[in-house]
Amino acid sequence: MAVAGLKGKRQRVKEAAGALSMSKGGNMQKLGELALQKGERVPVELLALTYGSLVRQVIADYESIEEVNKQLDLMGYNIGVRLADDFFAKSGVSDCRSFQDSAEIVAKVGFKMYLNVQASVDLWNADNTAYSILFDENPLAEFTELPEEYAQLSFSNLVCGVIRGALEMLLLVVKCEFVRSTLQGNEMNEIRISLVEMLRESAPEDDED
Amino acid sequence: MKTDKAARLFRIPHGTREGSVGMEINPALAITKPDSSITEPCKLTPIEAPQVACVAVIGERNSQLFLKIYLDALVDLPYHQSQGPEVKMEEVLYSTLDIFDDYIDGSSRKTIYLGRMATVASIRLYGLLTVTNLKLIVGVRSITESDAYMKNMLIKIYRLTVKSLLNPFQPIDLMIHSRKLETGIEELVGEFPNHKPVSGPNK
Repeated sequence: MAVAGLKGKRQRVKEAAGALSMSKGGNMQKLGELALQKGERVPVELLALTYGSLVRQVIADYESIEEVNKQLDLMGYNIGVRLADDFFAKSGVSDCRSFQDSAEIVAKVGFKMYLNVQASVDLWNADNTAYSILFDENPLAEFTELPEEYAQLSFSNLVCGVIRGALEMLLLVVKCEFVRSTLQGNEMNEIRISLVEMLRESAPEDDED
Repeated sequence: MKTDKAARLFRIPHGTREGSVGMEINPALAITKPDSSITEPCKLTPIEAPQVACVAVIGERNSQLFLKIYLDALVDLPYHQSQGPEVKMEEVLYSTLDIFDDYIDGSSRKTIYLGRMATVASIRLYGLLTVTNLKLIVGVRSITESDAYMKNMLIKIYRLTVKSLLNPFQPIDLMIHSRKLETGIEELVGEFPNHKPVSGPNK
C-alpha cells in the first residue's frame, strides 16, 4: 500500500481508485455485508408500504411536487444526522474525513447495511468534487409505479436527505439528488453527490468570561 | 388443434362442474332459444380462436379492478345486435358473481378455488375467491386444461394483483392501473397452451 502522506492528493486518489476492486473496495464490501448480517431484518413489504404511505401523506400535505421533494429531503436529513453515529458504531468503519473516502463508505457499506442494496461509485468529475452512486434495486420503491401526474416526483428523495445529513456529521456539506430513477423509466438509479464545502471543526468557545 | 365439438352457436350449457361443489348453473347463463337479433361475431373459426377469452379481477364490493377481454376468442358467443361481443362477455362475467356470493357468508374460510363455475357458448369460466372477497375469473375455450392448471393460473394472477395493490399510488377498490400487472397477465396468458392471439387483446 502506498504511503499516503508523502504523495500528492491526486496520486493518492488514483491509487485508491486502482486498488478499489482489490483491497479497499473489497474491504468496504465485506464490512457492509458483515454489518448487514449483524443487523435485524425487516420484511421488504413493511418498509415499502411504510415509506409509500409516508410519501402519499407528504403529497397530500403539500401543493407542489417540488415542495414534496424538498420535504422528503428534509426528513431524510433529520434521519441522516442521527444515522451517522449508528453507522460508525455498527459498521466498524474508521473515521472518514475526506470526500473521496466517503464515496465508497456510503455506497458500499451504507447502502448495503441499511437497504441491502448493492451500489457502486462512478462518474467522478475532473476535480473529484462530485460522484454518482449507481444501483438498480430500490427496496423503498419495490412495488411502486408512478402515475403520470407525479412524473416529477423524486420518490426516494429521503435517501438523498439521509446521505446529506450523514455526510454533514462528517463535516462534508454536499448537494445530493437523484438524477436517474427506475421509477421514471431509467434502467438504473443514480444519485449525484457534489461537495459544496468542507466545514472546519470549530474550537469550542471559551467558557471563561 | 383441438376443436370444441360442442361449439355450436346456441348451445345450452349444462351443469356439472369438475372439482367444485355441485351447484346449479346460473340460469342467466343459459341460452335457451334462437333469437333473430343475435348475430355471429368475429370472422375467425373456432379452431383459430385464441384459447384465453378473458381475465377479470373484481373487488370486494364488486367493483371492476382489472378486465381484459380477448375479442378474438369470443368467436361463437352470441350477442345482441345493439351490443358487441365484449359487452356480452362482461355481462356473463358479472353474472358469475352470484356464484361467488354463495360462498361469502361471513364465516371464516380460506381462499377457495371454485373450479369451472359456468360455461357460455364454448367459453368456460373458472373462478377463485380469496379470503378478502377478491374475485378472480378466467375464461378459456380449451377443454383440455386440468383443474390444477387453472387453479395455478388463478393463484398467479392473484399474486400479481396483490403486488399491484402494494403500490402506494394505487387507490383501493378502484380500477388498477399498473403496467406490471398488465405485462404479468399478458405473459401468463401467453404461456397458456395454444393461446395465439390474432389481433391482440381488446381492452
